[in-house]
Amino acid sequence: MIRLHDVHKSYPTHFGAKEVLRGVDITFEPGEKVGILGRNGAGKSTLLRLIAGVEHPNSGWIERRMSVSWPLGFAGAMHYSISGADNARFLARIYDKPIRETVEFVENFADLGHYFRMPVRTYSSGMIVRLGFSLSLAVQFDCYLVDEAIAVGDSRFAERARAALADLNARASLLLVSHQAETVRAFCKTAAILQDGRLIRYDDLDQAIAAYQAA
Amino acid sequence: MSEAIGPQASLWSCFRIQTRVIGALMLREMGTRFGRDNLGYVWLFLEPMMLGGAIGAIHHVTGHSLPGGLEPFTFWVIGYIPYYLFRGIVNRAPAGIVGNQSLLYHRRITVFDIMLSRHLLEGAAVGTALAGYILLFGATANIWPAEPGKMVLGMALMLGLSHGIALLIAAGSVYTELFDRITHLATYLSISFTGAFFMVFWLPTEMQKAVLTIPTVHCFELVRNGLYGTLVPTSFDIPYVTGWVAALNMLGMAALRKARRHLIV
Amino acid sequence: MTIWTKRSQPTRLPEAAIDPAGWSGPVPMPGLLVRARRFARRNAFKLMVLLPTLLAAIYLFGIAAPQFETEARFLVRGRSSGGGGGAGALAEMAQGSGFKPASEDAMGVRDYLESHDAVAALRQRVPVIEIFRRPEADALARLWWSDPTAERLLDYFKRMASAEYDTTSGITTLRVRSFRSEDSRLIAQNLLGLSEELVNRLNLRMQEDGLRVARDDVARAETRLKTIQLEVGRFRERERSVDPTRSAGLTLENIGKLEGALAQARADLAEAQRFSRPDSPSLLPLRNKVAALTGQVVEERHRLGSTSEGVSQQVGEFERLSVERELALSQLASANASLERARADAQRQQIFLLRVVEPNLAEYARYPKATLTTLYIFICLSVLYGLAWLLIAGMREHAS
Repeated sequence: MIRLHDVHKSYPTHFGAKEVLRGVDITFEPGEKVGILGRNGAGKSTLLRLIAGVEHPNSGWIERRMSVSWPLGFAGAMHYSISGADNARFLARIYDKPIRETVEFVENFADLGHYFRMPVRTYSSGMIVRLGFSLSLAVQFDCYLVDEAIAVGDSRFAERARAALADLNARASLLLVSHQAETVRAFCKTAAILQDGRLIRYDDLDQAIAAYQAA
Repeated sequence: MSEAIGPQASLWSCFRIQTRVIGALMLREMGTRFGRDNLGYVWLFLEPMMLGGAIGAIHHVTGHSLPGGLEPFTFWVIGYIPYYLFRGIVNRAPAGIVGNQSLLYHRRITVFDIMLSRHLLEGAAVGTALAGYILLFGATANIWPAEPGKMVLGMALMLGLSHGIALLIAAGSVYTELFDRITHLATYLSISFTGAFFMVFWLPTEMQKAVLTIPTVHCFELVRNGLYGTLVPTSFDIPYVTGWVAALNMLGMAALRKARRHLIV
Repeated sequence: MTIWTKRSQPTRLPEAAIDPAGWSGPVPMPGLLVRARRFARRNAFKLMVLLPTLLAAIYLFGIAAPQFETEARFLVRGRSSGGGGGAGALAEMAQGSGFKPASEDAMGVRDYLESHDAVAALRQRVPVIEIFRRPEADALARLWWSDPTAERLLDYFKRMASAEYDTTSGITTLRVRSFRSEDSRLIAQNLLGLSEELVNRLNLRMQEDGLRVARDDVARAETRLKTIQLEVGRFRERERSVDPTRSAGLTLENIGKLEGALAQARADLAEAQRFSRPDSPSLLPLRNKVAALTGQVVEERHRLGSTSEGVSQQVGEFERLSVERELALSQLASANASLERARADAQRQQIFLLRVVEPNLAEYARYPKATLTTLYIFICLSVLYGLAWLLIAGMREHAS
């Protein structure tokens, strides 16, 4: 279970503080697959980062009762000066996973070829996303925070990612942020709309999509 | 499904995770800083050894004699190496958070873990360099440390002080770049005050009293006392330095906690 | 300034345990240990900081017996300020900036004052243990043992008395604390007395060491002179001559005189023979004189020649003896001179203990410093508490 209690977040800018989230209250139960719809700049990625614990809310607090992945699909979360294999080894140590199995899994799943043994900074952005996603699958979280960038596209890997996400067992939760209703429909059972710094939860997916497209 | 770690997790399991994280961070730091090329990890302690040796050799050749009849080479090396620890940690502090922001995507890695692992690694490297020199002194000049425990304690207190200061600087550099600009200048100017290259007993009493308010001076004196024993008079106050270490670390950790909430990754 | 508060975890019960009516099931009374732990966790600051501070304050303000401090200052110095050993350029530089090499004597006195030696000597003069176990002393601050080992007594003594040496002024400050101000003064006075005795002992030792060598030299020169004098005496006895050189000289002088007279007589004879016949009776006495003188000279020469070995030997021996005597005499003189010098040096190097400030009789108990100590304890505990809190909170962050 993840619960957000009256979460506020603002960023300082040259023109004063910009409020991104103004009081988000929401609960995600284990096994839920929720899509979060929002326009560009609505604060979707900020929300994911707050849930992941990368940044902290200005006020309010976030309760996590399951293991939550880092936000997938963004840059970051990896080290650019060391190789993909070294990254896998490092995360295996951090999350207390068997090192050899983790490295093997990531190597097979990310399918990076000889790039797997080269520094991450030589990767293309697509390869970075593949590595990050494979790493998170290897660690095995209860809840995955996913940016749409992973699920879209038509490459072979996107298919496998889609399959992997669809395959997540019933206990694992999925929080998918997207500005495209179709992506959410493909993966999620329910949806919420992030608008004007507030998150509105809809129990019915179609209703949510309709509301999103109307806005 | 990872192991059930929740808010109810016992302190002991939290502690074990933290130690594992710090260990992993140290390994990673070694990998990123020294890579696996040519000498690799050997650079870790070769660097302070070379610098200390160069300083020692310069003063050995120019041949300034020291009060108390100390061997100039040992004196400068023994002063420079703890100073290298201090300078290395403090100078790297402003980049401590900014340079490792990507690590913060993993919630298990806290800013404190990052800083502590860097400093422990630095401490281990400098400690190894110092141990190397001690063996060298022993083998060539037959100067064995009188009380090795005091040398270790001196280095540990130095590490604690540097760690506390680095935490404060790292926290400050989240808010302003000022620290980035000033730290190098400040450590450079601090050479003369830290006590790396003078001994307290050389000074008149009033100066001694003034100088002994600086906590690093005690650390250097402690290290020297460990090496030279009663050959030269040294003055240090371990509880005083411990107080500084505790206060600096408390302030540093509190500042870091506050800065973490403001940090934009 | 922002005030940040610690957000507590929700105290709600697990949702599974709530029945539809909103009542939880029967919750058993938690055990004593659990309750104690919960209490400790909720009142951590009070238990770990406020309570110890309060206890310390109660002790310091309410129970602790007043302690009176007396202070005395003294100087340890020699008549001449002999420069310290050459310590190199840096030391000279430092000397230029008002640096004085620490006086070993003063350091020695300071170390003595904090030594078991001083405590043992003090114990023979003053009832130290009784003083530190006065009835008015509180149980915590007094000496805990009625018959302490020397080490324990020394540890306690070091806590109550201190000697501090100031390298700039050269003044040593002695501070003694006890539960009565007369006691403090008594101990301080006795300690000063002991220090003076120590200084005197040091002086005596130094003087003895310095003079002994010079005295030995004098004694050696004296014995040498004596043996030579004895040898000279024996020589004179044996040769029956006070001075063989002089007697040889006298013989030669005699021969010279005789030869002079002989020459005169011959000249007279030659003159008389020119005016008289060779057989003139007036020549006879002259001839007799010449003959007599010649005989005399021959005899003297013969005597000189026959004993010449003896005399020259005697002269050589005698001359050796007199040179040696001269040497022995000058050696004695120089030994005496250096003894004088050593004596003067010892006088100059003597150290003195000058009392600058006599031990005072404290009217006001300066110790224990209740407010400061309480504040200090509070700050220390707060810092420790803060550290522990931050460390534990930091650990807990790894839980999610």
